[in-house]
Formats: sequence, C-alpha cells, structure tokens
Amino acid sequence: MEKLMKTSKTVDTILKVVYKILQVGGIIIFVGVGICLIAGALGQLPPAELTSVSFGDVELIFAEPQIVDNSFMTIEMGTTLVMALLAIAVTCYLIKVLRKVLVPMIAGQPFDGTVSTNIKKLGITIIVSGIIIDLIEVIGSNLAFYMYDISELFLSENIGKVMINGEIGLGNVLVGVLVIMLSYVFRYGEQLQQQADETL
Amino acid sequence: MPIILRLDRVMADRKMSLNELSEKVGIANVNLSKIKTGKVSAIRFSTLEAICEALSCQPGDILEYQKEE
Repeated sequence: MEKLMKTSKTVDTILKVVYKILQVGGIIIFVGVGICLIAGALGQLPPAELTSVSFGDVELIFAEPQIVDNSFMTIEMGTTLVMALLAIAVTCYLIKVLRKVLVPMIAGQPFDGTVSTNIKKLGITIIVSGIIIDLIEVIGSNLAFYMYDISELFLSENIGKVMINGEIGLGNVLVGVLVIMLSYVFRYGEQLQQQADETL
Repeated sequence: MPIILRLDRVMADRKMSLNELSEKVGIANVNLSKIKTGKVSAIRFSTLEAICEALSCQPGDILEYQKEE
C-alpha cells in the first residue's frame, strides 16, 4: 500500500505540471493561430511556399517549392487549430479525471466509491475523443487535397487516379473498451471493500 | 436488517464500557461503535468468539433475529 500511495503522489505531481503546461500552451496556440486565421480570412496572409504536404501518414515532398494561396493556408491553419485545441482540451479533461482517480489512492484507499466511476469516464472519453480527432483529420486532409489539386503533382501518364482514403482508427476504441472493463474490476473491488469495512 | 446485535444490552448487564470491551476484544472503539449506527453487515467468528469470551455470554445473547415487515 505504501508503494501505491507514493507512486500515486508522484504521478499526481507530474500530471499537475503537465496540466499547467497544456493550459499555457493551449492559450498560446489559440492566440497565435487565431491571429493568423483572422489574417488569412481578411486576405492579409502573404502567399506561402510549401516544400511538402502531409496527408495523415503520407508526406509528399516537392521537387521545387510550391506557392499556395491564402485559402489553402487558412483551411490548413483552421483544421490545425481545431485539432490542436481539441487534443489539448481532451488531454486536460483526461488529466483532471485521472487526478480524481489518484486522490483516494494517495490516501491509501484504491477501492473508494468514486474510482470506478472516474475510470469509466476515462474510457468513454478515450473512445469518443479518438473518433472525433480522426474524423477532423480526415476532413482536413480531404479539404487540403481538393483545395490544392493534388493530382496535378503527378505524371498523368503513370497515375490513373489519386485519392485520399481516410480512416477512423480502432486503436482508441480498443484502449477505451479495456479501460471501461477495468472500471468494472474496480467496482467489484469497491463492493468487497465495503463488505470488509462493514465486517466486525 | 433482520439480524440485530444486542451488544449494548449485554454490556449494560455486565457493567462493561465500550472502551473496556474494545480493549479486551482487540477491536478499535470506532468499529464497535458502528453497531449503533447500523454500519455492520457481517461479523467474523473470531470477533464473535472474542466478544463472547469478554462478556461471558453465548452468541444467542448478542444476536437477535427480527423479521422485516
């Protein structure tokens, strides 16, 4: 039990620091990219030179820098901003819930009545946030693909068709399901703890 | 709960305080006090044995069954 309490306290301290960093980072990203987005919408952004473009795990590196217009950069920044803020918000929420799980563990009560509920919340958040972030990534990639006219980059005699196949990964779903199942184990532990506490 | 612990009755008969009983039985005061607040749902045989020895009584003197209506 001593090791559990010590480890929980250490992890809690680390999470506290990470939470603060994410909060500050989120504000900086929001302000910085937000300003660029507004500038883009007002047509104030200078044309950009792209040396490469990424679609999910695929990166296309250009032989020569390609000049792209305002609208492409605005959409790119817009989707980047949304994804970054969503990722930060979800991570902050996960950290908050995880710290709630750690509070009774620091006190030496891993089977406190609130632990299983919070672990279940973690699992559901992992599943939902994973799907949403993947969806935004797919939408952003497709928008960039159509905005930029990617098929122009390839030698047309060798390429029949160019398209983006977006996918929603099941990794997060699997992790989320495992975490939810873990919450049931803790709920059983809570019931046993209650029986032990009520036994004279 | 249909099973009631009549510990206070037997303690009063033997003129024994909660502190004294908890010392003899080896259970913390707070755990014995849980009986009064109805927070006890089970009792170990070893604890029952220790209580009976301390109060010189039978388990039936401490435990009573009252049917729930």
